[in-house]
Amino acid sequence: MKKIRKLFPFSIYDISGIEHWLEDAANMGLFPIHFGLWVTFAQTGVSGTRFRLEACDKKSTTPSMEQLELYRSAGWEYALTISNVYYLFYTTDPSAKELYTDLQSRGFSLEKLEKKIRHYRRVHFAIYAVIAVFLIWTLFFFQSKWDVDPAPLKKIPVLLLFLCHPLVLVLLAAGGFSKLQSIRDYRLLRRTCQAFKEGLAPPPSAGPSRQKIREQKIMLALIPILIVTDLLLIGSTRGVFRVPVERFPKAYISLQDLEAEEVELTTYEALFGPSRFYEGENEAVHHLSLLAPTWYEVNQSVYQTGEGDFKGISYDPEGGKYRYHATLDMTYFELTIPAMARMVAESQMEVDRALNRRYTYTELSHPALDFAIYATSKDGILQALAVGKGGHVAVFSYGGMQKLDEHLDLLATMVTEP
Amino acid sequence: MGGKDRAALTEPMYYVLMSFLHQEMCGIEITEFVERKTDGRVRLGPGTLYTLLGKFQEEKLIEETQTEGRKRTYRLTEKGREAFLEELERLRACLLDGEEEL
Repeated sequence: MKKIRKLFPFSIYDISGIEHWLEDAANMGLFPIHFGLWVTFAQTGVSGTRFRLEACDKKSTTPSMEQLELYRSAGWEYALTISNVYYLFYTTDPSAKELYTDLQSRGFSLEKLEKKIRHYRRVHFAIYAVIAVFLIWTLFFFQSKWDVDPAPLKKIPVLLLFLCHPLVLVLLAAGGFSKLQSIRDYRLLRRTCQAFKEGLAPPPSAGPSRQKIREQKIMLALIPILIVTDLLLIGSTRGVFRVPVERFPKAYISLQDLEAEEVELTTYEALFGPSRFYEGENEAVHHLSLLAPTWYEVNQSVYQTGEGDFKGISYDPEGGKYRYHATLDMTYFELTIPAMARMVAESQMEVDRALNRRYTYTELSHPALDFAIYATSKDGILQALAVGKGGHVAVFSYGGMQKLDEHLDLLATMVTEP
Repeated sequence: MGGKDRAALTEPMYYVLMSFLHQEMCGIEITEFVERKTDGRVRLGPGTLYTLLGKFQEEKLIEETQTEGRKRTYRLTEKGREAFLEELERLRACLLDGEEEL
């Protein structure tokens, strides 16, 4: 038998609107068999059928035996459950008594639905509040016992860039849209319930709404977008979109160019073969933000080919031979708002900072730059340098024997020759 | 809802409580009692009756005594009797007020 699907043109709490809509459908020979993202009808409708919505019980998605028996004895049959909100009853008998013979008792019946929704809203609010408190605590108050120089507020500009990821914004917009709908729907339920309890007619239904259909279409279109968005976000956090440095097309400063020419350097893999422990070395990662349309990281790591005596900070792969190992992590931003450049640079330096080192920050001057900030750890092994020009910012974190401030001309080219 | 703070009962509420005064009742018996008692003036739809039975149970005005298949039987509690008598008193006062003014 052919089935017909229709989008649902009502708020879920426009009770009289839904009942009339179903009765009009029955007059056209349609009978509802499923309520979901859309309503599915079979062509078994009987003209003159009356439909009534009954608020679901708290604990059950189907009516109780007692309710079924009472309703059946009055000529009403159960059809289906709508979104765990209503039981749908119908009768084809024109002489069957109305389910509700007074308005107040219908109000009492809807009261339990209103209480249920109010309870869910409180639970949601509590969950959001806990998440918000946790985030605020993590961002502003949490201190790692290893962090010798905590400055949590400094990380905010980079966090803001992450928040302005278009996919995050799509998720937030979808969440906000859905929240607005639920607030509007809840208000309608409250008004309807109140009117019934006072013995008044409920607010009149506006009838099938084009706006509601548009919203349904948007929600239907958003579902695949949200699924893809989630997958992309999960993928990006798990490094699915990392690219080996040798295949990365964008500009970066090569670690080899920074190191002394007399020391022969190569990658870990070239020396010892592939190892999962060293995955992520010499890879580039793209980020995306409306505040930074171009934003990427290039992480490089090289090892001395011959045996050395450098006591580095990194894991020694050879059990005590102290092979020289240098790393350079570069983050480049092209910002939409150039005024954010220095804040973002300082923020990225804080994000990259080794927690167990105390850094000294020095302003450097360079004629081609708006600013250059140089940071060194006390032992001199770890250094960072941030350069900015207009909306272009590059932040370098380095571990090795070189002095970054001596390479300022080279590093400045990242922002002066974008 | 309790004691003196109880809101006035609606007409269907009043008659449903009244139906339990002398005996235990199931849903269909209540409907028949109310129609008989009011000569058909007050008719209870199944939704009205089911909702009121749920509400009264929640407020402990009635309690379930037995379940036989799909049929459930209820009786009035002491609290339910007090609620009914309070309402009766209120209605008597209303009636007297009206008669005095005639």
